[in-house]
Amino acid sequence: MISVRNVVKRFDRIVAVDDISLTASPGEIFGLIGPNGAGKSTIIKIIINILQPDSGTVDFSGRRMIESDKERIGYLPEERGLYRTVRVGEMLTYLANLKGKRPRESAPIIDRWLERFDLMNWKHRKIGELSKGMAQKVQFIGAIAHEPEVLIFDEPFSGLDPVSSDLLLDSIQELARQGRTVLFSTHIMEQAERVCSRILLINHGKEIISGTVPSIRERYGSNTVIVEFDGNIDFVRGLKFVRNAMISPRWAEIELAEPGSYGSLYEALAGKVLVRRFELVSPSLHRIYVQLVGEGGV
Amino acid sequence: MNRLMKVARQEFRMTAANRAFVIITIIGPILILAISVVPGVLSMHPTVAAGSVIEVVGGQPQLLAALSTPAARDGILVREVPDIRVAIGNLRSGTAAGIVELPPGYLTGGSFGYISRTGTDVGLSGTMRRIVGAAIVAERLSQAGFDTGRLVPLIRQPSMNVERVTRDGSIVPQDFTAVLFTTIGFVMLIYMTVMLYGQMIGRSVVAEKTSKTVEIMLSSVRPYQLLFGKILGKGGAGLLQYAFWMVIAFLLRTLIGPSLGLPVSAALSTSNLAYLVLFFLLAFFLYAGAYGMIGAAATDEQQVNQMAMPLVLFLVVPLTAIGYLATNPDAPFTLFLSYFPMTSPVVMLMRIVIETPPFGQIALSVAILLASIVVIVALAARVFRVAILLTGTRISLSAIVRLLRG
Repeated sequence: MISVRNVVKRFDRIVAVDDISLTASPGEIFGLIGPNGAGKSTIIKIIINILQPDSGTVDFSGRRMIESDKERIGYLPEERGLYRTVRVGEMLTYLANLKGKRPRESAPIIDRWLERFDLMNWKHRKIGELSKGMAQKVQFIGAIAHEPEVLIFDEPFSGLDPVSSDLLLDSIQELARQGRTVLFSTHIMEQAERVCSRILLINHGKEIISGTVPSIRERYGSNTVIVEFDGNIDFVRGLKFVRNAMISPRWAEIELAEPGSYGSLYEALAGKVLVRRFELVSPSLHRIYVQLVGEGGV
Repeated sequence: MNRLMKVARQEFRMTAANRAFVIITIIGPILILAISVVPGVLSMHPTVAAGSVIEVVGGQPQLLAALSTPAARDGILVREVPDIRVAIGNLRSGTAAGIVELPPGYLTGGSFGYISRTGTDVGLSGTMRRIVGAAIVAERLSQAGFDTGRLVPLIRQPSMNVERVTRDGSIVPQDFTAVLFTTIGFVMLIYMTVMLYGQMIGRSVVAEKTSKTVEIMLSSVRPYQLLFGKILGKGGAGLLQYAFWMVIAFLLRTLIGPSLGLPVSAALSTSNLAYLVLFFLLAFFLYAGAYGMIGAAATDEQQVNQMAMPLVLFLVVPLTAIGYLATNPDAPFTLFLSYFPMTSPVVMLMRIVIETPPFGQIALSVAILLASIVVIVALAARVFRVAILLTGTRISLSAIVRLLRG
């Protein structure tokens, strides 16, 4: 378990992290969410002891974190970087070895993950020969090859194609099911909504909202309607009982000014377009994120 | 194995386990000889192309006759041309290599002229200076009524055998040329390897910084472990290279040289080779620490090169002053440079090869170097710890000073 308590970090006069607290427990996937520059990576670097906070603490398994705890944490940084001239297998063995896993112990684990990511044929090739997506998967394996208790992934899906992204997502969920604590940062709400049991949304280094995904969505009420349709519904933006509308060609998420006005919306739509789906839901995490961050992070 | 040694082992593997390292190890000394010693040897032994034609303008017939025989011994054909304009024409067309111009009164005037197309053909002009000069002196003596056949052997300068006293008090011959070129070879070896490995460390640090590999590394090791691991690993690779070269030098001196009858410099002694390795290691750790600091503070490789310019200058000073330093090994300036840590690995080694300075001076130089290494590496660790994660912004010199104070 990782607990961050009232952490503050300043860079000169800029407060990058402002009194942030969070707790990620074994078996759960904790999402650290926020726009670019919100302070997510800084919090992660403080957790893995690369940066020291100006105040606040990081606890590991209920006690103050110490240097040797690094061996029990796996870390995938936001930007990928491995030694280009080193071979894949050697690099992974080295990374695991630095974390205290002997080569003969890490070898079967590395092989298993290489097999799973269809990279076994690349084991003896140099990192520099890999595509960006392959290198990213290799780096992911590098973060987990020593079988850490805590896994921290900083924007793990950036730059991955959908298939690789799903493969990684499945792997992360599997690791959580095995009882590992997973903390990952993202600014892609759909991913967070799919896999995170709890989230912390930050902006400008400050907490905006935190909790389980359902509870957060609940907090923002059931005044949102999902509509699937054929036709053009741009006109709904002008309806007085519509507060906000995210409209795609055949799909829309419409936020109502009052929950009771969904009947009026249905009437307005029914005569003009073919409505295939009309569902009253809690707002999506994306909607909440846009609303909160778009309103200046308050 | 602790994490520092794991980093060092990996750095050693990345440096030594590749083709470039093997090639450099094998051809490195040959390259160094090629770019340092060979040009010097060639310039000290200028050659004269066989069949070179020298045209003589002016002068008395007996002098011209006196030139032909000694010139022919050096493969030079001397011929008389009555008109300087014709001689210049021949020179320009390439049918003659040079013109010796003997002005009226050359016997008493004290000088004569030599004209060539380049003015830099020191082999041919030097030979003609010697031959014509000797002929003029002989002619003067003859005209003064001396028997030149008896006098010339009498006034010939005797040669001087140069020897030196070693630390144990024995007297050994000193072949200055061999010692000088051994010194140049040693100096170039240290200069090039320290530059190579120093820059390798600087580039490696800045590359890890810009590629963010450092974040992965620092999630496992402390900053000082990463920096020292790099220095130790690359230092180990350098030491392996030197060990190979020392074995080759030892075999050359003890087995290969004697069995093939090759002249091997006495300066290539075991003690000198040991000092070479010692001063390489001291220079390596000093410069590696400085380059590590620069790599951490820089934003890219180009900036590493810019910031390392003062270091390069310190290494270049002994090279540019090598003529003075080698011929004045006990001068105050030489002594200063042999104690000043940034130049002492090169200059003290140079003095050791040339003159074997008192042991106390060598020990003082080594002690100053060791103290400097401790200071530089400590400073490097401090700058590295703070600066390695700062990317995208150029770190000014004043910021580095603040880091060092902080």
